[in-house]
Amino acid sequence: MQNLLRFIFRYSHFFTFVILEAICIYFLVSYNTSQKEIFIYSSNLVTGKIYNTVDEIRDYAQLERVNDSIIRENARLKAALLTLSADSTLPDLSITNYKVIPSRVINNNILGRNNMMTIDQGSDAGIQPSMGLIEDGGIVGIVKDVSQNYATAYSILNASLMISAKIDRNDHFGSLIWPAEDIRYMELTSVPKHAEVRLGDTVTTTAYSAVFPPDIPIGIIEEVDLEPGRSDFSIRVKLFNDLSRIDVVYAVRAETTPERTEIENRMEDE
Amino acid sequence: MSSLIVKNVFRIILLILVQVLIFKQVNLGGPDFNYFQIMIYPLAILLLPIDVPKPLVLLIAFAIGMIVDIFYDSPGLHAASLVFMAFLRPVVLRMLMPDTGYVKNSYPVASMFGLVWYLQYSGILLLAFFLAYFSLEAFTPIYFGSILLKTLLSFLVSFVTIILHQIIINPKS
Repeated sequence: MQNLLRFIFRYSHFFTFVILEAICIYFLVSYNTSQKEIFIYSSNLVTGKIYNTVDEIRDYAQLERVNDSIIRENARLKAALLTLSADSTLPDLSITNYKVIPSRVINNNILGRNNMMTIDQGSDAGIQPSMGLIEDGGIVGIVKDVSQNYATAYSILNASLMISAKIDRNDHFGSLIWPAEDIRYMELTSVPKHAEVRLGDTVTTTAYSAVFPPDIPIGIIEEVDLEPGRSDFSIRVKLFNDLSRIDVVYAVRAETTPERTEIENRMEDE
Repeated sequence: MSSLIVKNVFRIILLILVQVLIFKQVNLGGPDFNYFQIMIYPLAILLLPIDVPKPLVLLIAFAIGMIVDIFYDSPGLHAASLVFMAFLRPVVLRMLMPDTGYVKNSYPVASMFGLVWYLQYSGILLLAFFLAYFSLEAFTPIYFGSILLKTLLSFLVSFVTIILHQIIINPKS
C-alpha cells in the first residue's frame, strides 16, 4: 500500500496530466451532441452579460451601417407589401404563418471550422431550438441551445452543417455545406449531373426542411465543377451576405413546424 | 511570497481578458485566409515561477483553458492544449537547465536567463501548444497540411507578440 502511494506520488505530475487531458477530451467529443453543457456555452448568463456589455460599446461604431441596412430592408418590405395588395385578387396560397423574432448577434465566431454564435434573445422572446436565423439578404445560422435570455446558434459557416438549397431557376436541389476554407463561399453538392447549371444563377432555400422558409436567396453560383466519375456537380456559391459583419438577425419558424416534425419523425421510426 | 501569488493571479486574469476581448477579434489573414490566430494567454503558464509544483501548474493550466473555452465556445479545446503545454514545461526546463542548475526562487524570464534562453523556452512550448490546439480542433489527421500551416503561421504571430511583451515589459518575476 505504502509502495503504491509512493508510486502515485512520485508520478503525480504524469497522473494529473492524464486525468486532466481525459476530462478535456471528454468535453471535446461531447461538444456537438449533448445539450447538458448549455451552461458551458456562452448562453451562460455570466459570459452573456460580458459579451452584451462589450457589444453595446461596439454598437455605437456600427450604428450607421445598421441604419442603412434597416432602411434598405424597410424599403424592400414596403415594396413587397405593395405588390401583395395589388395581387389581392389571387387566392391566398400562403398556408403557413411565420413567426419572426428580431434579435442581435452578440458573439460571432468565423475563424474556426465549427463556428457558433450567440444572440441576445432567448426562450422569453419565443426563440426555440432549430429555428432558422436569416438577415436582410441571406441566411445566417440555426439555433442550437436556448436559455432564458440568450441562445446559441450554429453559424452556416459550420463544417458539420448541411442545409437544403436549390437553384432558383430550375428547382434542382442539393445540400449546401461549408468546406471550412473561405467565409465568403459555400459549396452546393448533390446536384445531379443532368441539371442545367449556369454561372450567375441564384441559389435559394427549399421547402424541404422546416428550418428556413422557402425561397430565401443565399448566393449566386460562381464556379461549377464536374469531376470525372462523379454523378453530381460541385458548385461554388458566393454568399450574398458577409458573415463577418452581421448584427441584426431574424429568427423564423413556421407555425406548423411541430406538427410537421412529428409526422416526419413518425415516418423515420417506421 | 503572497505578493507573488497576487501578482500571478492578477496576470492570469489580465491575460485572459486581453485574449478573449481583444485578440479573439483579430483576423490578420482577411476573410479568405483564416490561418493566423494570436494566442497570448499561454504566457500565464510560461511565466509561472519555476518552483511551482508540477501538478499545480497542470491544474492552473486546466482552469485557465476552461475559462478561455467558455468564451471561445469550444469546451475542452483550449484546456487540452494548455494542459499539454504545461505538461511539457518541466521537460523543456530540464532541457535548457544552466550548468549550475536552477537556484531557488527563479523565474523563467529573459531578465534572469537571457533573451536567447527565453526565445528557446517560449518557442518550444508555444509551438507544442499550437500543434496540440490545431490537431484537436480538426480532430482528424486528414487535414494534416492545413493543421501544419495554421500551426506555423499562428505560432509566428503569437511568438512575436509574446517576445514583444518580454522586451517591452521586461518582467523581473
